[in-house]
This record gives sequence, C-alpha cells and structure tokens, in this order.
Amino acid sequence: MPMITYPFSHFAKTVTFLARQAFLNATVFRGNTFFALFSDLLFVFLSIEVWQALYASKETSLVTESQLITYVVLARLLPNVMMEFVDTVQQRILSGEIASELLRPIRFSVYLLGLEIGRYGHRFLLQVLPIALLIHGLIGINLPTSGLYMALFVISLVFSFLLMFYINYIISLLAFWYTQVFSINTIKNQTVRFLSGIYVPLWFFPEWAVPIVQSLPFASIVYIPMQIYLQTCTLPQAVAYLGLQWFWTICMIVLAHWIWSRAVKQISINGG
Amino acid sequence: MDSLKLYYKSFLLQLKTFRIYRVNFFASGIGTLFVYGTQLLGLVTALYHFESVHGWNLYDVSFLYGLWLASYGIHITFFAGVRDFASMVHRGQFDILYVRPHNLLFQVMCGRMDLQAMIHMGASALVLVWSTMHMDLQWSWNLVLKLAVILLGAVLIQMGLTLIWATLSFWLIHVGSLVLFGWTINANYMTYPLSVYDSVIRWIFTIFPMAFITYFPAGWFLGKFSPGSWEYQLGSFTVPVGLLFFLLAYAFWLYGTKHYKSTGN
Amino acid sequence: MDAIIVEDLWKIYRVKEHRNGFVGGLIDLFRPVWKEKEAVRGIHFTIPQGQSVGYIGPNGSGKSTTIKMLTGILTPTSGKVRVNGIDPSRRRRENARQIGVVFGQRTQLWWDLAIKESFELFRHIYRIDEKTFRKNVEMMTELLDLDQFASIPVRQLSLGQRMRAEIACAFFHDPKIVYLDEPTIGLDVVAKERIRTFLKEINREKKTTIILTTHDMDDIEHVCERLILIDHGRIIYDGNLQRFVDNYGTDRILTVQFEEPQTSVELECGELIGFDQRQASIRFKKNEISATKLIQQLTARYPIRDCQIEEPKIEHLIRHVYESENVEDEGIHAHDHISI
Ligand SMILES: Nc1ncnc2c1ncn2[C@@H]1O[C@H](COP(=O)(O)OP(=O)(O)OP(=O)(O)O)[C@@H](O)[C@H]1O
Ligand SMILES: [Mg+2]
Repeated sequence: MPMITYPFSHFAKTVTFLARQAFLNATVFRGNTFFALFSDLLFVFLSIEVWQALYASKETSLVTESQLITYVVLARLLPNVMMEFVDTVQQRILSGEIASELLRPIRFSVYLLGLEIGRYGHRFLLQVLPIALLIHGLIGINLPTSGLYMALFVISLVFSFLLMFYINYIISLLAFWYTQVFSINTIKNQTVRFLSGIYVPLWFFPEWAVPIVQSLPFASIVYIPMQIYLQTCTLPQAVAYLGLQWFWTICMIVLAHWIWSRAVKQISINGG
Repeated sequence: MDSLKLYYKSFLLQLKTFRIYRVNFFASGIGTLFVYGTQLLGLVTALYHFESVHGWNLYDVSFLYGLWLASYGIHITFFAGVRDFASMVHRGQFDILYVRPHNLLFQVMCGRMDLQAMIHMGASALVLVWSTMHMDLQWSWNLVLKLAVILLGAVLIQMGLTLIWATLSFWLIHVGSLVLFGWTINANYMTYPLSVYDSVIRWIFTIFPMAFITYFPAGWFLGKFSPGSWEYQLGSFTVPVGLLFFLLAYAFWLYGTKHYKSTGN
Repeated sequence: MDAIIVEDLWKIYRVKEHRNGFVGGLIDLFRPVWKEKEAVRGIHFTIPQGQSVGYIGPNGSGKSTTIKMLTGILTPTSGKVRVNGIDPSRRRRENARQIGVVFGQRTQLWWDLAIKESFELFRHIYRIDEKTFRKNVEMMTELLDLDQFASIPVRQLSLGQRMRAEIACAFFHDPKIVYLDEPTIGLDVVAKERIRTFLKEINREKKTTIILTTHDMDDIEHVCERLILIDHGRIIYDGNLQRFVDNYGTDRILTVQFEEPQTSVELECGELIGFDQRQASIRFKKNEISATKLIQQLTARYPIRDCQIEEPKIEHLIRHVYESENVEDEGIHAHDHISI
C-alpha cells in the first residue's frame, strides 16, 4: 500500500473532528453513568481506607501519608485501562468486517485515536474531575505547588494516554492471529494494573524489583506521571522520566504500525 | 432422585459440548488464573512491604483471598447458570423453563455448568494450602470441620448474592455492571480485614453480609478474635447467616419469577 | 370436556418511559414514569379437548401474551384461566406436565449437540418411560422426516430442519394440549406444508388440542377447525373456520399484466381496483367466479403476459369483520366479541 502523507494541520483537523464526535456521543445519557460514578467513588474511598491502614502499620520514609492518598486516588481515576474500541475492533476482525477499514482515507489508528481522545475527555470531565474534587473536599489530596511540575505532569499525562492507547490498539490487532480475545484482553488489563502501580505503588515493591519495573513501559502509564505530579522527583529526574515515556511511546507506535502492516497483508491474502 | 438424575444428564451433555470448546476452555482458564495471580500478587506485595495490617500478616491476608476464591469457585460449580442468567432473560429463553415441570431455579442451574470452576477451585486450594503452611495451625479433625463450615457459609452467601443479581435482571438491563461491582468489592476490598474500613462501611458489609464470606469466618478460624468478642460470635455463625441470606435471596427470586414480564416476541 | 377455559382475561404491562438527557435520567432514577400497555383486554373462550384452534391477529394484537398466560409464563393481571382445571400460573409445574409448547422465536434444543441428544434430555425432563418415548420418537422421526439430520449439531441445521425438531420436542410426552406460537415463521412453502400435515395428523390421531398462532391464513386453513381472531387485545371473531372463510375470506385479488398497453378494461365479474395500461388489479369473490374462469374471460379479450392471485391478508379480513359486524374498535364492553 502506498503511504499517503497528510500535512499536520489536516491530521489535527481530522482528530479534532473525531474527538468532538465521540465526546458528544458519550454525553448521550446512559443509565449506567450514575452507577459508574457511584461505584468509582466507592472504590476510591475504600482504597484510601485500605492504604491509610497499611500506612499506619509501619513507619516508612518513602512518602508522606497525603502523598500516598493522592497517589491512590489519582492512580485509580486517571488511566483508562480498558478502552472501548478494543472489543469492537476485535469483533470486526473476527467477523472479517475489518477489511472495509482499508477503504477509509485515514489511518485506522488515527481514526481510533481521535475517537478515544473524545471519550477520554468526557471521562475526564464527568468522572475523574468530579470524583477527585469531591475526595479533595472530603479528605484533601495534594495539589501541585509548582507550575513547572504541573506543566511537565500534563505532558506526562499525554504520553501516558498515548501509551495506553497504543497498548490497547496492539492488543486489539492480535485478534488477527489469535482468536481467544477474552484471555489476551484480561492478561493485558491485569499486567497493566499490576505493573503500572495501580494495585500497589511502585514505592512498595521489593527494592530489587523497582528499577526493573520502573523502566518497563507500564510504569510510564501511572507511576511516572504520579511521581511528577507529587513532585517526588527532582526536575532533571522528571525530564528523564519524560524521555523514558517518549521512548516507550515511540516504540509502541512503531510496533503498532508494523503489526498493522502485517495485518493488512493478512487481509489482502485471506480476503479478510 | 429424579432431579438428581436430570442434573447428571445435563452435566453429561455439557461435557460433550466441552469437547467442542476445548481451546476456548484452556485459553479462558489462563486468563482467569492471570486475574487471580495478579490480584494476589498485589496483596502480597503490599503486605510484604508493610508486614501486617491490623494484626493480619501476609499469609493471613492471603488466606482471606484464598477463602474468597474457594467460595467463589465452589459456588460457580452449581451457579454458573444463575451467574449468566441476565442474558437468558434478555434473549427470552427463560420462557422455556416455565413450560417444563421442574423448579425454575433448578432448571437454571442445570442449564449451564462451567468447567472453569475447576480452575477456580484448584487455584484457591493452592492459595489456602500455601498460606496455612506458613501459619502454626494445629491441624486436627476439629479444624478441618471448622474449615468446611466456614466454606459452606461463604458459599451460601456467594450463592445468595448471585441469586440477587440474577433476580434484579428481571427489572434492570445493565445487571452486568452490578455484578462486576459486587465482584470487585469481594475480590479487591473484602480480601483486606474489614477492620481497616470505617464504621459505616463495616456496618454495611456486616448487614449486607459480604464480610461473612471472608473476614468474620477467617478471623474466627484463624483465632484473630478474642473468644467472646462480638466478631468471634459472628464468625462462628456464618452458616446460619449464610442460610438466612440465601433464603431471603430465594424469596426475592420467587417474587421475581411471579412478576416476570417475558420479552416481546 | 373443556380443555381450556378463559374468562375475562386481562394483561396490562407496565413499562418505564424514559426522559431525555442527563437531568431527565437523574429524575428517572427517583421518579420513573410508568406507562400502561393493555395487551389483552378481557377475552373469553372455551376450547374443548381435541379441537384445533387458529389464533390470529395483526402484530402486537396480544396473541403471544395470551399464549404466555395459558402456559403459565405470565401471571394475568386479572381474569380466570383454567387448563384442564388447573390455574397455570399458580400450579405451573402440574400444568407444564400436560402441555407442549413451541415458540417459533425461541429454541429448546441444545445448540452444540445433535437433536438426538436433546431428545434424550426431554425424556428425563418429562420422566417419560422408555417404551412410550421410543414409540414417540419413532413416530415423530417418521412424520417429520428427522432421520436425515438427526446426528448433525443443531447450529448447522437449516431453519426448517430445526423447526421440525423443535416441534417434535413438544410431543414426546403425549401432551393433552400443544401451543404453537408462530411455528412457521420464516419457513418456505415446502417446510410449512410438512408442518401443517404433521399437525393435522397428530390432532386426528392423538386427539391433541392444538392452539396455533401464525400470520399465514393458509396454516390455519390447513390445520384448524376453529378460528379466533384478536385485535388490540380483544377477540373480534370466534367460530367455525369454514364459515369465516365463506363470509370474509372469499375475496381474492387477481393482478394481470398485458402484452401491450390497454386503454381500458371491461369486466363481466369482479371489481377493478387498479389499472395503469400495462397492468390491472381485479378483486373478485371466489364463490362467485373461479380464478381460472376469470382468467379465461380476460385472455379471451386481452393479450395477457402474466398473472398473479393474492390471498386475503389478515389485516384485510379484520377490516371486513369490523365493517360487517359493527364491532367497535376501541370498545369498552368486555363481551362485545361475536360468536358464530
Ligand atoms: N414483555 C413485554 N413488556 C411490555 N410490553 C409488551 C411485552 N410483550 C408484549 N408487549 C406489548 O403487548 C402488546 C401485545 O404483544 P404480543 O407479543 O402479545 O403481540 P402478538 O399478537 O404476539 O404480536 P406478533 O404478531 O408481533 O407476535 C404489544 O403492543 C407489545 O408491544
Ligand atoms: Mg407474538
């Protein structure tokens, strides 16, 4: 397939359009919205109590209690581990309908990315922010004190989102070769939850494991942005973290494109 | 007796279909094990660092997890059909059971047996054995009986819960998210000792007896509560509590089946 | 003896209405709006043992709802149902033992297994003794020609094949009454024909009471002796099938296409209801003139290329009943159905 390159402005326009569309779709009321809000709130609340109890049971110099609580709250709310498109893409691959995606004038990944940005925006405004503010009002969580760190955190969050997106995308494409999608999705979700530091912050991993886990791509999804947010790293460290995140994001993008091109070959051979 | 025979016959038929979906079975089995593995690893990592929480160490908390997993696995052995009941209602297939001369719940149970239950039970046995190996329990018949008793109580409560979710699908469309909600609470939060939560939450899960799946019975079994304390009393009462809860859930189910609305067409 | 007695039977569904938007959704959570849907509105009938009854009506008229109340799936809002003296929603299991049910839209068969295996399960479900079971399986297999696909998994069967197996399942335990809700839906003429013949045969031989709903008048004409017509939850005709057909079902529409454009068409018989030079539609009563005769008359005068005869549609019949019997459509009286 010939590569068609578009000017960046065109790309940005397409993505913005798709994102807005997805955002509006998500605002259509669903009975589940309130329930999701309620259950997320409860889970965050229970997690806080669990970690407060753990924190009280042993002196630790690694973090303060308020940093830990802030971490627990945001680590549970910010990342979107199971993105909505994965299921649909897998179903379309399994049914063979995916072939029609080749006819689209834009890259499949860009198309999905646009939609997912819109959904994340919706989630951020209507789920993450209200719950975080409510918890802040009730218990109090740390807010960044330095504008510079805040700016770095925002960049870091963008990388985190992109990484999560490309991991989901790669997993969804695996359906071309492996039809047991339930188990691959589960393995992906659980790996991310454990190694990114959602279940347990990396601070509390055994000492020997920390450097390894920290340099894996998963830590870049939760642990690294949170380090920057909490200002538990120095500025040069923060910049190095961003470099690591950038590195993994590029790796995932390259990997995703490679897998997609193999998939396209597969479609043209088997007719989808 | 006839019912048992019917159950057995349904089971044989399920085994036949199992052969068709063998690959599926092993793949989902791996997925299932992965979920439990990572969840347990989370608990272990946290307790490895903090050593203990409210007097429960790494192995005690793992025991809580194992108890939850075992009760879930045993209950799935019989209740897979009830777990997947919502889709049966939405497809209208529940109608069929009304026109057959058997108890409705019994038919739902016959309708689906999930061999994954074996994986659940295997995994939970490993966790229970591993965690109790690291405790100095004086094993005796008495203790084995105690373990059987707390498992029975926990299974009854799991069944009651699943039956309540199933009954709610007569009225609600998105029961799936409720089920996941309950499951997450059990798997991720009831596997820490209940005492870490504040009093409101403790009350809620004592009255809606999710804490009777793990915390109270495990504390009673492991001797975490001083004899005579109210926790100890509650822990020794898991079977009656489970029975009562299950009967209430069953009454709710009967009410639901009387008000079943079927689906158009 | 009367197998089924229905008196002043009502079913009202309560359905939640949804408000729009986020705020609407929030209000819905706490103060839902209920709308009542009267699906069955005070119907009466009695059906003697051994009768075959066609229960027809347009979409949404309440047929399935009635069947579900007779079989014990739904509890009636009010009124009385007795099936062999049993109230089906109160004594469901007792009732279930003596009835057979076929839903055209649901399956009773085990999706991944051959029908033989599902049949075997039915033996246990209904506790049928070995001898009766063998005899019935043999009989069904022969009458419905199940042999050729008896060992293929159900998911690989055609709709017609599957439906035949579904119908067989309803008869293994020698039920006194069999309800069939649209058993011929989506089937081709050959498959329909086989099912009709089977039902007729079994009704004659085993004296099974048969209640059949369908949208195909032909099904009814082949199988049933009595017809109950329901519209908007109310029975508007209940009586002998032949008489109904003679009174209302005699209209046919003949559509002919001409070889060359015509300027006008003259008829000796029947009524011209559509004409556009190349094509004409003629309504005629089949007891006044036979279709062949009418076509002969036409071919004598005009060069005909093609012709087609349309049977009356149920909606059409209903209009006729309303017109000739002065039944009020949205009437309030419970006893306003006509019995002939
Ligand atoms: N479970 C239900 N909940 C709410 N309303 C229902 C339900 N089932 C049926 N209805 C409504 O009751 C009315 C009668 O439906 P019913 O299914 O009995 O019609 P029917 O005569 O069988 O139609 P069809 O020919 O389409 O099968 C319809 O208006 C339908 O929308
Ligand atoms: Mg119907």
